[in-house]
Amino acid sequence: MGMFGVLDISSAGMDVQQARLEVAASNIANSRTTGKDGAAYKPLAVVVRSAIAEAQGAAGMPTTTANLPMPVVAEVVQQDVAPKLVYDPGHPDADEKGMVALPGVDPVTSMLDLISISRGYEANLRAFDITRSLLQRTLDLGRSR
Amino acid sequence: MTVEAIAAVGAQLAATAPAAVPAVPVAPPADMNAIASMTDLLPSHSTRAGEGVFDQLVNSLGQVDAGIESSGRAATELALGQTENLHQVMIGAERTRLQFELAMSMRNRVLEAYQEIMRMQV
Amino acid sequence: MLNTDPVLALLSRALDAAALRQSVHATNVANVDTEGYRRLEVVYSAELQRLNAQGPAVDANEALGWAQAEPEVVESADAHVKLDQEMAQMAENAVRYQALLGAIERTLGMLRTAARDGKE
Repeated sequence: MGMFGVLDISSAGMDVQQARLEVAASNIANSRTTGKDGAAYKPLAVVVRSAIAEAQGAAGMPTTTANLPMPVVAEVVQQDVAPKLVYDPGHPDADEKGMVALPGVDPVTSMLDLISISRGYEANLRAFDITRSLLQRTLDLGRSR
Repeated sequence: MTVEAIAAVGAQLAATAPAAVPAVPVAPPADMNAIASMTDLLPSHSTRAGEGVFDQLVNSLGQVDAGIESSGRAATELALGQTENLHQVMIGAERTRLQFELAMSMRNRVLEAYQEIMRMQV
Repeated sequence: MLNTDPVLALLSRALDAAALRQSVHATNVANVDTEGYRRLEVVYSAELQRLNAQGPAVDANEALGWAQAEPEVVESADAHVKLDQEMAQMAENAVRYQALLGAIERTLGMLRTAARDGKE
């Protein structure tokens, strides 16, 4: 694989951050989406796995660039967060006690997620750029003079 | 022709045409003022008395050899991750390369001059 | 001669280690949010030997003896990937990589000049 394959790993890393961004955007957009009888929006989360990460406990240590762990979005799960109950008897989704269930999306957590995603994406982008630049310099070896 | 005979021819040349070929004094790159001391790669017009052109060439080759050795040590340290001053290593390496190319260039010109002389009708 | 020059061989092996390091840093960054991931790093035997050896610069041949084993990927003691640290180490490694490339270029350049008899 060499360093060329590593460009794919950085690219996969950016894909993962992109997926996290989509999910975070959905959570923020739906932070006030109610529903009847427990059908309120539940915040989503992304689960990222990599084939070799699971084998890391075992003897399967990567020794060359040929089998470095590549991250992949394994699944998108609903988080089992308790909904926030708000007293609003006039609301169409209010139950018999007049309480409305709002999604348990914590805005602070959402903002922190966005920051984390932004840093992660940028780091992967810089890593991609540095790898590409080193490869170009290596190709120039022996070219001039 | 033996080396001594060639040197003798050179000595005669130096005697008849003083300062015809400028001496190239090169110091080994072990000193600390690497940038400042690059100027001593420039030729100075002093031909020492009795020294032939070929002696000067042999001297400068010896210095190039020392330069290559020191550059090799610096490269070894770089490979082993022990370099404190990266710029020293790079400047030293560039110095050595220039010394080397200067010496090669000088050697070519001296050879050409020698061949010219040998072509002369006596 | 080109095959046996110890300095060139040592530089080349160090470049292997630097290239592997770049790959491993990039992998750590890509897996920062991967479940169960433990941070990886590269171990290069010649560098370790040099750290243990005392005294001034060694002979290239001796160093080459230390560098016989391939650079290795191992799990680092600290399993958590910290992005800032990872990027800083990546930048440092990139500089070393380019320095090693430069040293190799110059060494090859001198050999090339000698092979061409000093002419272009």
